[in-house]
Amino acid sequence: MAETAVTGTPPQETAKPAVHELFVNMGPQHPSTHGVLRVMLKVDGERILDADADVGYLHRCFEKIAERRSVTMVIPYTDRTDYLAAITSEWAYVMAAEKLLGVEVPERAEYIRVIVGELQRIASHLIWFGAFALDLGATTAFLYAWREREYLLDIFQKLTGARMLYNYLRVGGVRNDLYDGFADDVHRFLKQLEEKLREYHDLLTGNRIFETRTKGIGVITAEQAIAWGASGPVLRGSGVPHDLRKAHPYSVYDRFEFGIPVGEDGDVYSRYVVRMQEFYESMRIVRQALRDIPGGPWQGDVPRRMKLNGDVYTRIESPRGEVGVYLVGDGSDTPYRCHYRSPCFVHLQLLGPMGVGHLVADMVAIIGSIDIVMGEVDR
Amino acid sequence: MSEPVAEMPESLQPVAKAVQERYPQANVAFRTDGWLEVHIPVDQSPEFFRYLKEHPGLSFDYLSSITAVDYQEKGFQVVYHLVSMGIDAKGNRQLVVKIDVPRDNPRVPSVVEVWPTADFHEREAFDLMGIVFDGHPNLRRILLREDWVGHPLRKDYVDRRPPRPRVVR
Amino acid sequence: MTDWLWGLFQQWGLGEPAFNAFMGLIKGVLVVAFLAVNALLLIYLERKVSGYIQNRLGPTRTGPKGLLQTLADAVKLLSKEDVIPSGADRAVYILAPIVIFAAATALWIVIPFGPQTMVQDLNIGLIYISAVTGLSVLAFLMAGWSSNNKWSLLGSMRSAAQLISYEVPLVLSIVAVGMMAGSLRLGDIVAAQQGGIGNWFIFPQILGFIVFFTAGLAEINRAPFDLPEAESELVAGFNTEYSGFRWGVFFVAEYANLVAFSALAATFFFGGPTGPVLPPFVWFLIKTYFFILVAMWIRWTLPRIRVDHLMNLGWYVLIPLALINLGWTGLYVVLRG
Repeated sequence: MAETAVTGTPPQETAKPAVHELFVNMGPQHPSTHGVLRVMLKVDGERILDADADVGYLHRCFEKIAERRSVTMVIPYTDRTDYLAAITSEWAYVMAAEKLLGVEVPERAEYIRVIVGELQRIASHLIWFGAFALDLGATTAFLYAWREREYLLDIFQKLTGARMLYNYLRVGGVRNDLYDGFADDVHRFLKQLEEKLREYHDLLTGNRIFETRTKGIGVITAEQAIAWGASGPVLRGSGVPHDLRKAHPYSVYDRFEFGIPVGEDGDVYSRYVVRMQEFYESMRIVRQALRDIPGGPWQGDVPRRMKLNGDVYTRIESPRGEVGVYLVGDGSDTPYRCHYRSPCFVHLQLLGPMGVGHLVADMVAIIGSIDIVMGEVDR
Repeated sequence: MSEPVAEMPESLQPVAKAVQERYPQANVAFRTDGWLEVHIPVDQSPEFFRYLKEHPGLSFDYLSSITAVDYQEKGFQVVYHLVSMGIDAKGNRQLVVKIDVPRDNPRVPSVVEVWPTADFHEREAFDLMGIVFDGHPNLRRILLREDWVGHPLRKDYVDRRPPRPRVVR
Repeated sequence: MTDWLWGLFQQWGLGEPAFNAFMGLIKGVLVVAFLAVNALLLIYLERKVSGYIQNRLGPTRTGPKGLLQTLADAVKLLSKEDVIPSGADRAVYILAPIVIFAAATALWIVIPFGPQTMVQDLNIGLIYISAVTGLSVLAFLMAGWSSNNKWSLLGSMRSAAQLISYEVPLVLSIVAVGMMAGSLRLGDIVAAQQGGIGNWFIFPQILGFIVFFTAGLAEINRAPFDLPEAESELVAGFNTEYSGFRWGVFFVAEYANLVAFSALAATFFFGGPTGPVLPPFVWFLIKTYFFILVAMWIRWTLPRIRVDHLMNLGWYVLIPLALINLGWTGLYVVLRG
């Protein structure tokens, strides 16, 4: 281990063996902090003594903006929180609004939501796979994942007109129906993805360098994960079989058969395995939904003037974890208060417990493994 | 507010009972959306939450979110969303706890000791709403700059930033 | 050609030292030109190869098939503002790229382009090589220290640690080559491998080759051992603060080292510039570029190894392997008679 003796502060006299503490700012301009995250690291050589996340560089107070917009006008803003899985953040908000308004969503709309939601999960996981591999120095996997995501974005573009920020869900349904041939497109994509996933596994899973870099790194136990409010693949990677799609089936998720992939060790590798398996589970759900999708309207009846009353908290399983929206209405058509619970924001607290004792290179792997999106953290 | 309904799911009944017995002044109601809603006075906060987490029949071990709402003249309301995951893996007990605090002195005891995840949530509520969480180890602004004036999510918030100087070219 | 020049010098009344100095200058210019051309080509090649590995096209726009892309980049780098961080140790900061380029070039003095074509066939060639390859780490340390940047410092510390762990197996594997040839002179090593594939050192030295190739990749900081400049971990490592021309020099030196390493691998184990039909220089290029392509293939396939695993690999795997190989080589040489 290389030990560095340079510190910003004068060295302190201690009886203990000399620890040469160095304060390093990892970010906000660092290639692998996925945006503008700043991790304040205290390192001894390259060993991390303390890690603390500093966020807020992308903050634009979406919650305050929402208080000035009508119910529907907020939806585009929710897109821009988790910009890699826009559908799920829209969904959480739309569900909250529907509960406050008492709007019934037609069955077809629910199925469409499930399909695009799961496709979105695949798209988001594809980016995660690429970025995670890139963080570990495997540049090629990144471009492979990007290629598949491109096909998926083409489908989304045909469906919604946008590639990343869809503004597709509406209170009471979705904006437009599926286009003709949507099912064929999706089936073709899923078939292709299945083949390519094998390629991904060849590239990374089982690679000795990859395994030594991920196994036993950033371990959190199940108790820790629950206490620190982890959710999604981070929680499941620690062995807790908790998935909101099963625990509190929203929409029509109770009609599909799918498993909850669970990791064993709570380390970076377990999270990797969980996400890689979620590809297959999402594919299963999409196939079932495409098979069972009923006809009918895709937009329910909504009051012309949407008056929000009362408060509600909805939770959704986004690709990153539990997205919650706390919506309060005061009888007007603008949300009185709209709070967005972001999974990544919560997960960032885990950087300390996960990273201490590991090397700087492991911190990169850990950040990659919790799959942060800074737009969602800072909102 | 959602109307309290008579039939409460079986999983939540013991919770309501236990809470009501131990804290008679707590206001327990069942909401139609599946959440149990409890109003408690502010002075019971940390013990009440520790009871919720540690009492074997309750074990609300998962804190989903802490947020605050500004009800203007009615004061602030700090809202905790709790889920129990330990007892049954399905985790179908959901509890929302609301604490009303006066506007002129918005102080709530911190629950970081109970759930470590409360750290960032409380910092965010402090940053954006100005709720002071007593006992929080590190109550600093988290999303806004350290020298920001005011708390933007308050209804009476005015942007006190100096107007940008006009540049004439 | 040489004789003619020698005559010319005698006519002018200049002695042998002046002639040697002149010849050295010419050879030096040739080597630097060779390196510069190779670096330009290699950067293009790397972009194309990585492109094809990653289902992309690589550069296509500048010049025919994007051939002029590197040139355009070179012009860009040369015309950029020369930035030196205010807290930097100026003298060392400026010196570092010079040192690394000097080290990269100095290696080429002993590398044989043909059976007897080299700048200087030193009788201590192998020792010279192991000495010069260690020089580049000095430049990394200088760059990392003088940049006044913590990431640079971490990067240079990594490179120092990496050098210590990899210099040893590298030298041990080179020693075995010297034993096989019975000489430290690279000309002799090439001569010993002449006369067909059967005489190549790769067959008795397969273990040595594996050690040499792995340690060599680590020595020249090539992925998956590119820890001193691991961009996803240390921003850009030791050259974080460098830009423009100085950064370009680091870049060229990196590729010069890659060529040198591939050329050495070819020389030590694959007969160097020997082969049928084609002229020796062409064989030299073919073998060198083969190893360059292998190195590129490795770089774009594998994830980056972690710094402590790298040390473990060096100390626990490569050094024992190199020692076993050394013992085997001794036995082989004795049995061969």
